[in-house]
Amino acid sequence: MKIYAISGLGADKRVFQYLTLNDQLILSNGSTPNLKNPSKPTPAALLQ
Amino acid sequence: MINTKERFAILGVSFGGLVAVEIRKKLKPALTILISSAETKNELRSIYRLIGKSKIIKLLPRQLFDPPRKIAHWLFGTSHTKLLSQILDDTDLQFAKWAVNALLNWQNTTQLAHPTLKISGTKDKLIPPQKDSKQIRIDQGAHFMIVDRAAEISKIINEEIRKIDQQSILS
Repeated sequence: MKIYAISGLGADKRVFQYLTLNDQLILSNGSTPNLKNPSKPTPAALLQ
Repeated sequence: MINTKERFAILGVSFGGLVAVEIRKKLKPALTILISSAETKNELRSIYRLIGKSKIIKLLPRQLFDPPRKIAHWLFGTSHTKLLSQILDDTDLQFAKWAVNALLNWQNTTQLAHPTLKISGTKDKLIPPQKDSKQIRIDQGAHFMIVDRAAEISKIINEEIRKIDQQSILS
């Protein structure tokens, strides 16, 4: 199955390259809010 | 974009785990994986909630969200100091300020339904492990253990997905 990975603070998508998973890892920059266009939803906006 | 027409898992690290929890409340992944993170606001340090309530974060200049590297290396407890420094160098400070504020004011109290895999390090200074039967603890693991203990974490995740795949075949 596909695994969608969401990075955090001090842990951007580079940290996932160390994992050796049997399933497909899909990296997301989704933690970053769209600060220039806040009306455009991102996963991080769910926290607001 | 998550393709919900096929089975999928979501994996959140640290602050990304909070985002994963919120996504989990709206979608139905086959597995939610939280690494060095929290499932509810009650799993965060009480001091975080107090600071969040004070609203002081909004008053601080964003430059304060770029910690001295030696302090960051200690807080994250990593031997991969060069990688952590590079990541912090590349972090947008406006985002860092926003994310810290979002973490401190996170209101979620909803525990996720299974299947959820929570992996925490016993030496995590930022989000310490809680008494939780769902939690797998990495002995001596710190906040950056997704890098420092990647082999162990990979094995745990692979095994959990194997079990879920087997259950799916049987049902």
